[in-house]
Amino acid sequence: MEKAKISPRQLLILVLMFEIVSAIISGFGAEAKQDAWITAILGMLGGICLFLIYHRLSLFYPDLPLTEYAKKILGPVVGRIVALLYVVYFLFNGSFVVREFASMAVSFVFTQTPFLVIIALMLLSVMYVIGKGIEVLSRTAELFFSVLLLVTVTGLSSILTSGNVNLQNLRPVLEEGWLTVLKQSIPSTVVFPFGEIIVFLMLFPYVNKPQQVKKTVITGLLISGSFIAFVTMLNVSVLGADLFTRTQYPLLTTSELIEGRALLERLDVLFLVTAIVGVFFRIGIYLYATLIGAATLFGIPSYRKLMIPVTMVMFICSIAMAGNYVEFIYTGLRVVRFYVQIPMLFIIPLILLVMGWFQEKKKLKSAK
Amino acid sequence: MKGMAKDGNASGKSAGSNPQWTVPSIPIDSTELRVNLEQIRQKTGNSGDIIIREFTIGGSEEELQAAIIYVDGIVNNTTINQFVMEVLLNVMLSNEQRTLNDLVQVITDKIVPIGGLKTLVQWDELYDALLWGQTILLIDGSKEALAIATSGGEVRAIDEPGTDTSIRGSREGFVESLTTNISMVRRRIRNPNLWLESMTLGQVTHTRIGIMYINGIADDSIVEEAKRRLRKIKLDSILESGYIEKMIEDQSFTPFPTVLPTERPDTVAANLLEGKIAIMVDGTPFMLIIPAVFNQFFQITEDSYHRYDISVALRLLRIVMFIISMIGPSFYIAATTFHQEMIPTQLVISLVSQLEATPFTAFVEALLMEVIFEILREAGVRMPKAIGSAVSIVGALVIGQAAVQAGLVSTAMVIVVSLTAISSLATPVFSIAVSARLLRFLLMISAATFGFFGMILTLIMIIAHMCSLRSFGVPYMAPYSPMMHVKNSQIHAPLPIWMRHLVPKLMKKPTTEQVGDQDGT
Amino acid sequence: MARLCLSIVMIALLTGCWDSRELTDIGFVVAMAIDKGEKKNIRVTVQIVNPINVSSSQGGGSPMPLPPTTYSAEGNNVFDATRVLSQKLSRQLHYGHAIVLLVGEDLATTQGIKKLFDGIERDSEFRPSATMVIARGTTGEEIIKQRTSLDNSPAIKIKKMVAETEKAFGENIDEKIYQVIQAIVSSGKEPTITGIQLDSTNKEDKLMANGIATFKDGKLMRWLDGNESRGFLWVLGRVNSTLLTMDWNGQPHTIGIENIRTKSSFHSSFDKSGKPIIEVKIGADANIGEVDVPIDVTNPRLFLQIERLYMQAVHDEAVATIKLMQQQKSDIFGFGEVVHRDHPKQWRTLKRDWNDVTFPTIEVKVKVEAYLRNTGLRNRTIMESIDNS
Repeated sequence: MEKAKISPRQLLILVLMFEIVSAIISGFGAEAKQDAWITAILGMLGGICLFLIYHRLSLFYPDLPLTEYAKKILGPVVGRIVALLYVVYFLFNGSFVVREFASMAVSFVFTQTPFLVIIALMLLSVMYVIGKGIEVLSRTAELFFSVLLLVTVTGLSSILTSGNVNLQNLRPVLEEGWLTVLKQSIPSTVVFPFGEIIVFLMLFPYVNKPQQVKKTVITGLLISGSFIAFVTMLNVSVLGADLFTRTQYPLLTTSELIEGRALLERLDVLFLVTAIVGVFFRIGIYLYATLIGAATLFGIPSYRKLMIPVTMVMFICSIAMAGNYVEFIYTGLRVVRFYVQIPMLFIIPLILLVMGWFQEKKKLKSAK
Repeated sequence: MKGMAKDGNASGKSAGSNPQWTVPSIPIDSTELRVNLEQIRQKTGNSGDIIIREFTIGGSEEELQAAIIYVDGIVNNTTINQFVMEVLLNVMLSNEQRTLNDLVQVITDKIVPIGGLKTLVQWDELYDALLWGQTILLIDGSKEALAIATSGGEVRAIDEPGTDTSIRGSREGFVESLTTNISMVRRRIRNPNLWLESMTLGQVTHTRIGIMYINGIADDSIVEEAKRRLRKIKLDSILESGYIEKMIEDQSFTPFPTVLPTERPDTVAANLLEGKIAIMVDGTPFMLIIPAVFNQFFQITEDSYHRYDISVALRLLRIVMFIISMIGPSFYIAATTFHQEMIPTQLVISLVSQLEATPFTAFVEALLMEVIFEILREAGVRMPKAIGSAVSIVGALVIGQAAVQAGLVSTAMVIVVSLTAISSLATPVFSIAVSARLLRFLLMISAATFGFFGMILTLIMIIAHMCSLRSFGVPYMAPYSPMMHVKNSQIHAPLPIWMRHLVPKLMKKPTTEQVGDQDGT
Repeated sequence: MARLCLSIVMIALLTGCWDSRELTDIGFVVAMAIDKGEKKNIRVTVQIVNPINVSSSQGGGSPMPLPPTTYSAEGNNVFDATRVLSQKLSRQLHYGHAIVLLVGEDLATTQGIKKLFDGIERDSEFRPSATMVIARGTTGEEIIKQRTSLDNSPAIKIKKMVAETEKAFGENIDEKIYQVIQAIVSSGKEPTITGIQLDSTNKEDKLMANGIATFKDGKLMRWLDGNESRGFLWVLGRVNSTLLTMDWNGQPHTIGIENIRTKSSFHSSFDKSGKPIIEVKIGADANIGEVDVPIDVTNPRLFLQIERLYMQAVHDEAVATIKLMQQQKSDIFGFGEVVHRDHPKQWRTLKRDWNDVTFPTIEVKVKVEAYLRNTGLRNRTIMESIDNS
């Protein structure tokens, strides 16, 4: 743990960057076709519920990150195992994000480059910035946020004015009925990207105004959820349900279709830029969470010593994760979702919550 | 003779035998005038411009031997002649005065009609005063010397500042004389809380340094820190404030400056009023302002004089130009080498037709042009003024045009490089324009190897680096991040009165609010 | 330590960039034509930007248009053929600036267009916003090789021409690749693509747009020309500016109405027997363009009469095209999509045989509301003045 402090505003920006970017890039909610935006909103609501669980959990030990209070709540042995699980979980998620980004970069821009190089470069830069501490990361995020905002507004307004938007494409709404939509949202969109907010439990001890954490994160989730829903709606209305389901990166295809105004015509590079910046911070947060968790778990005073080994592990993990893109998607969507995400995001936090609650009651009783 | 002065100096007048750079703080321990004078002659090697004038102080029975010592050229001869010599030669001392031990005191109290008088007892003080243009009065029979303030001599007249010219605002720039400079600041802030602390640095040069700040506005901890760092400097020479700048900055391993040099007294005054500290070095018109954050390097004092709409617009323009000067060539390289689909079709066509003729890759071309431009710039600076403008025009037009026609570079590249160069000239402070120049090459390399991906990653790293910098404890990228809230800051955002509460805060000490009786235009 | 840094820097610089390409090593494809091949399945022709063409025109403005640079190759499918092309080129092909895709009429009629798109779509460079046209009466290769007088290359000419004529004349439609794909995939709409043919009357610049190709099951079925194609555009509400001449009192072609803009909307419902009914509402704004009979145009009643005539004319053209396409059993209007959107449950059963069975029998009600706005810069007609003087 370092002595840094981040402000609620910085926390909000981190949440926004974390949640929005990945979802914009990849095919989000494609199973629901033109109702994908509804799954976005439902996922957001589900994510907020999850977050309320997480936040209540963090209130037991507001100065400690998740891995620490797992130890405190569940005891030294089980707690350590759980903490280790989470460290590995964050590491895995980080590698996942890296791999996802590298796949996109390779299919879109760097068609001849081995994605190993892309991953290496990205991880090296992230490592450099993380080495400077969470405060620097937050400040950099603050700066880039305004740039990203500008880019996003430019991009979105170009799409809106391009004349390609056809709201009829959103119909028929709920063609498959509520049940199908629910079946698809709960597992997939609650988990990604909203459930991943659990990572921020590692960062809460740094916030200099702890009482504002809840409000800030919920605001962040609301904004990101609405934004993702909006962008998804935009994508569907431009591409139509079929194309939307078939493209790997819907927003990219949407921006490729803009034409007319000469300067704003070829915006796919803006897409790449947004992706790079957003993914950078996502990986950064995961890497940082892993480092802090590992450092506190193994009793190493400064997480910087672990930077190089952990980054290397992340590097290897992201490459070894899957042999090709199809395997990667399959792993991510089917295997991971059910066997990993659900326990880590639902079950274990619930257990922690319940046990923590008992523990607190015991403490209060013995205090009397 | 009472006691030889023991100062460990080599006896003998030859300068070759182990001179000491510093004068130790040894008190003058001889009351004999002759001995002391001899010592002075030895120490200064009988330099021709150090005048030793022996005389007797007027009086009746016993003649009182005395001498004045001064350095010709840095004293005001009139003052010496009129107010020192004439007075001392004509004074009539009573007998009892003559026998007093504190004769120097009497002279100080009653006789010499000059303001700055100081009694000296140590050799280092004596030399210091002497070399600062003061006249030393030594009296036979006293261990004390009297330093009489008679500084003068030729200094450069106050003129327009060489670097920071302005459309509106005062035309005064600092000069080389420390006292004049301090006075220029005093004239703008006529407040007793404007404090000056002096220091002498430089083992050989004994340069006088002044630290000015406004007590009550400036953060005391920063003042202390500044003084601490200055005291730690152990250099032989301090010829310019740049020497000090390098020694007191927070981090040297960064291309970004954390100390702001300025030639203008109004800039210094404005900054002092915001709680900053000015460090002044004798011998240079460039003052240092600390702490300095990123935003300040894009601010010119005129921003507060002009109306706010133009100031804000120009400030944004400057930052944009800074960014252009940093990423200009890399943007071009990345677009033409990796992301050709990004360029509008018509432009691509004309670019291809231009590039058909050139042999080099975009990166090499860019590098070549940048280097040529840097050469031109350096040459232009060194040129004597008469030829200077001709050469720069010739250089730009001829070389650029000829290079294109010879097929060495493409026209597009010339345009890109010229645009970058002009943008870098728009940055007000030279030290930060330099950082853009250096980082530009780094970005060009990353763009040439990995296109936009590399460029963005490098940019993120650069900005993260900037965010991690601190200038005397103040975060470098404030007020952009972290944003803290407080009242006024003319420097960071010259906003109209009614908007001022939105301006972010920089330093923790609240500044005095400007008395708001303006008529809210 | 210094050595470590140096080696890292060297690695970064030397491993270099697999993807970097110099502009001079790239051949920018601006148009691609796909035809039926002679020896193999597909023949692909690409038009490449030739910088020499450009620079010479920049240098002195030579009046003679230079023929565009094209290359052709044959292969089993589109992808295959483009690879063979590399044997003929000194550059690497780059499709990021391809703005026109042509398909030869021959290929479209025999093999159909369904199989052409997958490779193009998957490719990271080819933009789905390129304009698509069918080469009519000739091969796409021929079209691409034409010289043009005003524009730099046929690709630019075709792209601009198709867009402009849809706006100015209303008989051709500007369809992009992704729109064609959407129509192919959907069971409720069939694709429609403008045709480009050679105009033999103009020696220098033979390219012209003519007609709209309609498809069934991915194969080119029939061309719509003249009023037929305009009728189609009326239904879609994509007519901007066009001139519609009407008869007045038995005198043919005497009043010309200049249309300004059109909007249309579709509604679907079902009648008692479960058959779909489509209601098409067309709204048009127009001005009086030309009056060659001596009538008093300033008379409001007369004006309204003209307006009603106009509405009828538009209605007739639209209905004619709808009936024609119902005979042809191809729903190019997207009525099926409308039913899908409004009544998804019923659509599930209807969509299987929509084109062949249901569409030909549905009832389509066309309602036109036209508004004549003004009469231009003159009020009464010349003919009237001649009569009166």
